[in-house]
Amino acid sequence: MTEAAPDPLRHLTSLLFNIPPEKFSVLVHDLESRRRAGSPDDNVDSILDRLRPRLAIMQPKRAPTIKRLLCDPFEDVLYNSTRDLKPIGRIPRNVLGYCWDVLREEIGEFDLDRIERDITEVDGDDLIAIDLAGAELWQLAATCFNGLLATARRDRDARQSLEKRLGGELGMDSLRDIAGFLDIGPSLISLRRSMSRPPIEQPTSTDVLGVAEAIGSVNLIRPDRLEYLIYVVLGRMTESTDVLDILRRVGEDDPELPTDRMLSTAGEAIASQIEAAVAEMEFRVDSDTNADNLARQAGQFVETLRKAGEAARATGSRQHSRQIEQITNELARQARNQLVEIGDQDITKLTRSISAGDWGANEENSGDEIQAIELLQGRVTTLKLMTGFSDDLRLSDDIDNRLDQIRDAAKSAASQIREQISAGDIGDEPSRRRAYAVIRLVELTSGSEDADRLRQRLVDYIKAIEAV
Amino acid sequence: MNGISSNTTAIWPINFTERGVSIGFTTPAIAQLRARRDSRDKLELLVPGLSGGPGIYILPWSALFELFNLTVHDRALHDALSEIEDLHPVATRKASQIVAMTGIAGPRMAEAARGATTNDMTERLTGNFHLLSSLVEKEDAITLEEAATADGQRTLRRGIRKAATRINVPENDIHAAAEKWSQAVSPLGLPNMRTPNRLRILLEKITQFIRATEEWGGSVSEEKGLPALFASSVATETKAVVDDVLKQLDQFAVSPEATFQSWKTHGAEVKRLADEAIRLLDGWDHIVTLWEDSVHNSRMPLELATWTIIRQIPMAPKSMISKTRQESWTEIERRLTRLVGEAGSRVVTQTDLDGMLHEEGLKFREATF
Repeated sequence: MTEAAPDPLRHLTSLLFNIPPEKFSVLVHDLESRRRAGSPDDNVDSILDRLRPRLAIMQPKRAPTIKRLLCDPFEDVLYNSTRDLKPIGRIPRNVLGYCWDVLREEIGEFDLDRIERDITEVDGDDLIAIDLAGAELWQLAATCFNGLLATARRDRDARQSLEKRLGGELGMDSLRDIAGFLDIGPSLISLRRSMSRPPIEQPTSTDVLGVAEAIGSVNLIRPDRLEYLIYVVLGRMTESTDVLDILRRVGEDDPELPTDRMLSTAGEAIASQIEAAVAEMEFRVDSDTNADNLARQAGQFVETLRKAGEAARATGSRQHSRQIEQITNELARQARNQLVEIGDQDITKLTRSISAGDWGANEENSGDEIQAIELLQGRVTTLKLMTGFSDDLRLSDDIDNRLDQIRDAAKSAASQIREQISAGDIGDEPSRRRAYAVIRLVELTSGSEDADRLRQRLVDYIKAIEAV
Repeated sequence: MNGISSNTTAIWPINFTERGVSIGFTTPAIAQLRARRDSRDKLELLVPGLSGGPGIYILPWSALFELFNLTVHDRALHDALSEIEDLHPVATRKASQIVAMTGIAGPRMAEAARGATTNDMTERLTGNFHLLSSLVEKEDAITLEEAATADGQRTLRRGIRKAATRINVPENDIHAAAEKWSQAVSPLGLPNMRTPNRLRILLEKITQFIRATEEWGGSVSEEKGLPALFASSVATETKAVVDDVLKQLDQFAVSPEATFQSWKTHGAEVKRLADEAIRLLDGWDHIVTLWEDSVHNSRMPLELATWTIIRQIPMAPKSMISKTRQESWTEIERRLTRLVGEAGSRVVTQTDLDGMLHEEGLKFREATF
């Protein structure tokens, strides 16, 4: 087959909300059962992906399964990893299968099957029964994982063997964290129930209260596991540095709490999570629109890094401050490569062609010329979207220089358009389209007033020749 | 406000003229707000909740320059609108397409406008073909593809000639009526067409919008979900009004022969009903696109999107509301009166480049759905 097959799921997105709610829940349930049963149909995952926007809104009741129950305490920190990266405080989804297999092999099927029967028999709304089953499962699993990890620490062969069973180092690191989350499983479940639904754009006072209570109880039972609670709070936030505000408020209300340690834990996790996201940026640019999105994303990273940096300075952690600086440098490097220098050829090409004076002279070139101006329009929007945070990345001069260069080119092009108007040389369709493309470029570089003056001139001219 | 405008207009307009037409501006602060003509025939803009005020404020076009940094696209669009005699959704859509096709708002908007122009033309031609085909006997029936060939055209003409004799309507009158009929219903199309036209697709999208906003509004806190649930109820009521109008309009297509025979008396009614449906749906394309964009692309948080929608939500005018629906619409008016000022103060419109790009992106999606 030489042509790409048509995407059979393309209509699903537009029909997403056509499915009545009750049928939607049934559909999700059915797809998940097929996925669990290891359906050979590749489409199951793609269909679930397409359903995600509505899943996020509707959050239909998912069927309780033992695997889901195991992950309930740390569901907020799960992510889809594309590379072998594990930011602090997060668990890649692809290691869960290994961990589950290890658990099954270690503790045998008897207990797990019994718990599974318990939860499939109870009504999905019977939270007490599910929580009881959960508490038993988390404790079983935590004991098992902690035991394996302790042996692995003592015995090199055991460590290597465990690492192999977990698919590598990533699995090993994840298992360590999973055990940490499971140790305080019931507290994490209470915390998740007391907070707003993720993603939390702005934490409310109820959210802060929920976190305060959970911290209070974990600090009493397992102070050594406090960090895992912070990771869950972090996983629920849209803006990760909001966690720092929450922790400060909680710390102010209860001076007995190890606020500095909590802030430092959160700061490290935030830094590590941005670091991973920055590393992912490398693979993202493939069109102008994406360059704009990437610029916006870089802006969000800068904002988060700025706040994380302030927090690091406040706690006086030099190591943490250095880490933030390193990530900022890496972000700056990526931004320079992916967003600033990438369009330099376009800029040089058009600037040269305009200053050579032959621009707009040959109608055969108009298509290419329009395309070149449109490329420059894309460059300007990306660069301008970066001006709000270019100082933080020490890219201001680089961006300003390029914008100046494009602005000058736009001005030259505009003055050539004016000359062409005066000479009555702009009658046909391609030259008008080129003129409008230049007007847009002038608007983006010098503002709408300047651009509109040129437009008025063009319109008056066109009206005059059309009246003849 | 601040001496710029203390004039307000009714939250619930009496008729379509008072309500104005939703305009595809790209300056974020005035995007998709409604425009109408003042007593001196000048364009004026209706701004709900200006600076958090509790009404729909009337701003003369000249005041917009003082208040907002208007994009060149909007200045060009304003000029184009000033030249339109009848400020009607179909005419303003055409004007927007012509402006965007110049490339003044970038290549994407130009491309979308070209696509939309072709689509509009195809819809009219397909409607015309559908009406004519409904008159011909089986042996003269041709497909849409065949209609583009000389042979196909000949067969169709033969079929129409026979139909003219059969239904006793002159052939020229049939062609003229089909032309007017298809033009009147163009964005709506006819009920049993193979591919639904733009506004019938929009109606389908409104149904989804109703469900989605209701689901989301009901799943978040009461305060957060308020504008979504309100928008859902306005959409439900509007759709009911549109459905009533369409039911009457589509009745004419059930027996097209009879309609062709009585076109002189019924033609005006077809035109009136189609016009009402088109005007009722004016502005909803942008609303559903804004919502869908927020759901799928997360550029704008859903809560902010729903407050933006409140600023743009069109009230079906009083002239269109039957007695049985009066009560629901009075309640809608009451709730909107309470919400409009809050919407104005919550929607801090982006004045920068990013805001403009967002609007352009929405218009691109809207033109291509």
